[in-house]
Amino acid sequence: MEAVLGREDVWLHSVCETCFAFCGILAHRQDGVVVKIEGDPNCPASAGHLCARGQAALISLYDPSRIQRPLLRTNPEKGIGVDPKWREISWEQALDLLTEKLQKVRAEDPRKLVIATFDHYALGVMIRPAWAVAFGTPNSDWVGYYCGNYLHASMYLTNGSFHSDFDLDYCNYAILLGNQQGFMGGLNANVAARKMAEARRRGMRLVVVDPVGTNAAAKADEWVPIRPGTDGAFILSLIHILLNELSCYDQEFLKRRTNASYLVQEDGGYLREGPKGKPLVWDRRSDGAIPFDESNADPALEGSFVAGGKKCRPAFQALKDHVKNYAPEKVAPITTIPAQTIRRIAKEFGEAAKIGSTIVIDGKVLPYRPVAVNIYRGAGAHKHGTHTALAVQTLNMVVGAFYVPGGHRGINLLGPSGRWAPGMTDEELITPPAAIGRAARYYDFDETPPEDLGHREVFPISTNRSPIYEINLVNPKQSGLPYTPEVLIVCRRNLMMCNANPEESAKMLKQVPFVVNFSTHIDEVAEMSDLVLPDKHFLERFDLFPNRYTHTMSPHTGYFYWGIRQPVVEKPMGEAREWIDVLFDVAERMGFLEDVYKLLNMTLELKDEYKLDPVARYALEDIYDRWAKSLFGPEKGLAWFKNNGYHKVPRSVEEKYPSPFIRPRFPIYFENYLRAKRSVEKVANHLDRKLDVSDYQVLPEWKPCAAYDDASPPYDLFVVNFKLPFHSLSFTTQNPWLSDLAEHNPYAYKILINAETAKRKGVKDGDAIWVESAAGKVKGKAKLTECIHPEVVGIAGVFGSWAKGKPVAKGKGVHFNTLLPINMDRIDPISTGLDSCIRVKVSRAA
Amino acid sequence: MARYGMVIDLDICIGCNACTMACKSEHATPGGIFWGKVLEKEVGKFPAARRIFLPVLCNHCKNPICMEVCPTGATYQREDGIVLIDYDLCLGCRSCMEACPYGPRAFYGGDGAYYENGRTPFEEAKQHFPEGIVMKCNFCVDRVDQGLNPACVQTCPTECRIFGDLDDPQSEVSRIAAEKKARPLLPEKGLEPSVFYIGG
Amino acid sequence: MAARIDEFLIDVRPQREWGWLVISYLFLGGAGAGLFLVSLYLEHLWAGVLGLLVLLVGTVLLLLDLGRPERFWRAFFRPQTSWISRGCFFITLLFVLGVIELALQWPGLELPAWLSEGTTLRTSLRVAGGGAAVLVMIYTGFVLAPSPAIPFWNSAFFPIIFFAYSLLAGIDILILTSPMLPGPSLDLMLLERNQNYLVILCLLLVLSHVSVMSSSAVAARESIRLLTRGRWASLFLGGVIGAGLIVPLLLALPVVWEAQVQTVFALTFILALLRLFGDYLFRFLVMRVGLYDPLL
Repeated sequence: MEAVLGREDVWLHSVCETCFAFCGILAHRQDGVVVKIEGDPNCPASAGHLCARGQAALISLYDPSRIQRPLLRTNPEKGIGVDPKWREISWEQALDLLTEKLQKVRAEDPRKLVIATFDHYALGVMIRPAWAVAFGTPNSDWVGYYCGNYLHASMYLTNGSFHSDFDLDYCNYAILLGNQQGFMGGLNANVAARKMAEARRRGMRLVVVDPVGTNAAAKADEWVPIRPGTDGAFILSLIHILLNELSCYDQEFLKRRTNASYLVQEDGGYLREGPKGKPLVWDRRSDGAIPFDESNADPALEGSFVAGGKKCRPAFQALKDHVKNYAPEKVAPITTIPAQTIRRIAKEFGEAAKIGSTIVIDGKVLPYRPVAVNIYRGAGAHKHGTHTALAVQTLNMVVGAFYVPGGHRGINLLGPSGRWAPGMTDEELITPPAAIGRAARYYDFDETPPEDLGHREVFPISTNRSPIYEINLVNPKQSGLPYTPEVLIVCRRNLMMCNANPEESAKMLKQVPFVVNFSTHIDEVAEMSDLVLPDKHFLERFDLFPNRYTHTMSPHTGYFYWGIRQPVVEKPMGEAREWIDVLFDVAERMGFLEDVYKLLNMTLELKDEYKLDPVARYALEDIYDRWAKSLFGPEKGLAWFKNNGYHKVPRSVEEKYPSPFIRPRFPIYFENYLRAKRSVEKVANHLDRKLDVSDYQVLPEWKPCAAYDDASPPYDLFVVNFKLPFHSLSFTTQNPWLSDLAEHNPYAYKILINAETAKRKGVKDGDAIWVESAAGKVKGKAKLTECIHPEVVGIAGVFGSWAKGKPVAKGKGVHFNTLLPINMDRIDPISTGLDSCIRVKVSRAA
Repeated sequence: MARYGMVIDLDICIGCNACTMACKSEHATPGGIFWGKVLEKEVGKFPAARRIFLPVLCNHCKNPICMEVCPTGATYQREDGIVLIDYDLCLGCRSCMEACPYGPRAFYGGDGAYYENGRTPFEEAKQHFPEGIVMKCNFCVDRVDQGLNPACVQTCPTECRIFGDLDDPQSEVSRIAAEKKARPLLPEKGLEPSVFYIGG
Repeated sequence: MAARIDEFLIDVRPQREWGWLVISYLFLGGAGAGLFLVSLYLEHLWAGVLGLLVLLVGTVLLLLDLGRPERFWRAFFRPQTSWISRGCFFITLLFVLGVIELALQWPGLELPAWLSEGTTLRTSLRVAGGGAAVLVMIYTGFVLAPSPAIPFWNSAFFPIIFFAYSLLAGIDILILTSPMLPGPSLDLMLLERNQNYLVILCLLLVLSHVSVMSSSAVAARESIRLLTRGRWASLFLGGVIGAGLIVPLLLALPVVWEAQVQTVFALTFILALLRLFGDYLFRFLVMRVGLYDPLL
């Protein structure tokens, strides 16, 4: 078609936000209307590709059900299905009201304000480090229960990094444990899928351990169906076989790069040189105990010794002895995986690790360990899930497949050109670099009474404590906190659908006198809110450098990169506003914007000439412009990023495979847990709380989660949740294209049940069935399948919306979380992850 | 003259449906209608069970039976092998849908808007299908004419699709088709599809 | 949004595009043409008129089935390859020749000598009309038969089966309407005897088709399973074969062998209804068990 004079036809750089992978996109706009979204070829993550969710985001931009103007609740009664009787108000009125409410709590006790959001960007850049601090509330960290707390805690501890990744460029044997990395789930979904495809093309063997025959399982060389909640036993059995049957472990790595040689006493603590001294190792050369960091030492990994009159053994020997409890014959009936399969996988894994081999990359000789076990939420979402995750990291470490070519790795341990590097403890154990783990303090513990709803001091080894927020909000009197929350701000966080049972969540929300919800739809949370403010769609939003080092910048991209999420339409729908902008307005009205600016000057590390003048006022765009210039020089301001999309810096070998280049060691023995245990007990005593601290163990253990022993009839099956590659969280369910696709999908909106199990229960394909747990029950259509463990029913995604304001999503699919109870018995005592493995009974619906 | 075709690697496809959505976005297809999609099925019994994925689209056959049975000439074939439908000629008799064994075609009865409460600006701008006609994948002919890959090929995160000229033995699509012994779906139907599959 | 939810499965897939309107057309179009053909044989003006009327109703239903009925004239553009296009010519031809034929038969019409009964022209017109009727009766079989997509339809039997069933239905309509039909009275007994031969022919053809298909492609075997053991078994075995063919055949025995005018009268009506029911059901089931082969 010939270009018509004056006809607009532009492609705009932006960044997708339909999952936390944050892929670069190009939006095609003609005459003011976005007509297509494609992957940005210049983005190292998407490289021109884009998944179903990203493609479909376009239609949701124009959703006529979006909230147009601020809404005020006029019905004081709150509850699921209760009409809030909205009254439209102006932004001016809304801001007045919000300011008034916030002013009151700030004057009384700023901690009475709670912020719940899964908007990583806003949370990480603006809210947590600046706005919330300036306001004075510590309660800004309430993210999703979806989140793999279990994993992240283990990652910070063992890897110094937040996310788990593995090197698909060289890996030859990968085990995915309860996750679909490389199959459109998880970290950097697009680049991981591309790399996974390449790896499989070149013959990488893929083993998927999962109760559900997911998309990943479909493409695996071997699908190993496992009983839910028993992954830890399986992994520990693999370690046992490698250490005690095959003697297959990476001695060099264990000696030099971990604390495996540190001598430990019978009480579990290190044998130290003096009370506060350095941990000792057994030097085989001098046949005596010497400080671990003495040069020329030849530390023993095995044996048992007496030093200074104390019985001791190397940590590795302790591990070796410990895993003897996990003989395959013992683990098989726990996991339902045959003992010979466990043995074979251990053997294959050990052989594929090529221990001792090296590879030359860019002229550097590096250890080559082309194997990895990768864990995410599925395997860890259990009580004791942190142990499972630590077992996984331990297995990777045992074969030396840690931050080296082909192996497991965290992301972004080393920053570009030395901008950041991990720290270390006195014992030379790794701590996260500030850039990717500011809040993780896993070696020294505060024993002061907790101030925040997450009870940070009670759960020090956790990355977020979201379920604890809920428990404390439901019972503020029993929280031990000196205040009761009064205002809750929610944005992009469906507290009703993505927590546990919604009745519980409703109870919690009713406790809070004033709930403000920034939302695109009158969703399940908005229905429970007092003030609803129209939020922008991500395609209407400005976010500079949305790719956070913690979350979305896998080394697979080959780069460090900085991009921009910019509005791809000229005006947002209705009167939608960016919530950060609104909160800054409120800060100005309340008079603390100056403090926000001062904090931003520090947290964004703005250079002097770009520092914000506390008494001046800036639009968000001005702040971003200063940030960009401060980081990359005057010519690379906001305008440059708008036009060019990405600033990219290629990664060096060191930045991809840091292990051989850094000093800190990776812990394979968790002596710090002994200290954590003591601190936690102390804090719990302050709070007059009885707390189970038995999970603070120096070595990972498999312990049955509550559901495992909970087979009392008629609750004879487990229920698990699994991911679809074309939906994420609850918010894509209102997308009509994705919903259309899900309706045609044989599994998406169904309840999966093994064909044999169904037959036994007289359930036929397509029958309406009830799935009932102690917490709640859900109804859906049975999908008989061979691709699920016979003891399990599977429910995908976060479906089954009930809000009238989401007409596309409403009533479609099955809401898994309804089945989840929430109480301390169902929470992992270390990470606070909510146990998502539950017993259910299945019956035909009349 | 080129003869356009595609090779899809079934070993590599992960069933993510990025292609399905790229197609929907590219063509603004009406609600319930998918020009390209990913079919699947289960094979084997637990625990040796597996799901297999099959991305499908119009095969742009060399001998398009759809064109043969069309009473109006609405379905036609370009010299480069792309089979298209002229919506102005289509009667909506659906004989093409009955004749094609591959099922890529859909009858559009009208009301293609996705939201019940109104057509979106996107749909106003892009969704202009006359009612009462049959529609299907057009190999993204507008993109192909600009030298671009079809939307499904471009977006595929696993790069499991290759598009190109089957008549050029040097083209990537021809080389891979030859090397990997690519085969079409239901070759016994004798329609000579231009979409081939490898692996699986 | 008008969504039809079919799961994205690799499986035998039923055709759902042609439904009640097309089925009714297949039945009425065939029966109308069949009745017209018989009317020529019987030289019965009003039977011919009725035949064309039935065909007209069928054709209107077919037009209504189109997505764009106002474009129907475009269907005449591809007779080189398309049986639907050819069918349009056949139907048109039948209407044109049929109307001429009936006009010429109109009582009291003074005809020029070259058009009177017995002339070559008149005979040729009649033969051509009959030919057009035969084509309308069988072409729908050719619409289905060449399709490689639906193996159950992909059979040379269909043109013949449709011919036989169309004739059967045409005559049955004649039997049913005979008391009301103006013009010379009809020999119901004769018609009824002929019907029995047709019934036997239909039975043989249908059973042969079923037996051939039982060992054909996956989808065809599934079609047969649906007809003989699955969802449609009672309608096929009980309706098409039993009520539509075998029962009339058995009940017709007394009619054929010992003629008692009273019984004949009552019984033939019932038999005709049963056969028409079976005929319609047959066409319905043919469409319903049209299944595509799985793609893998």
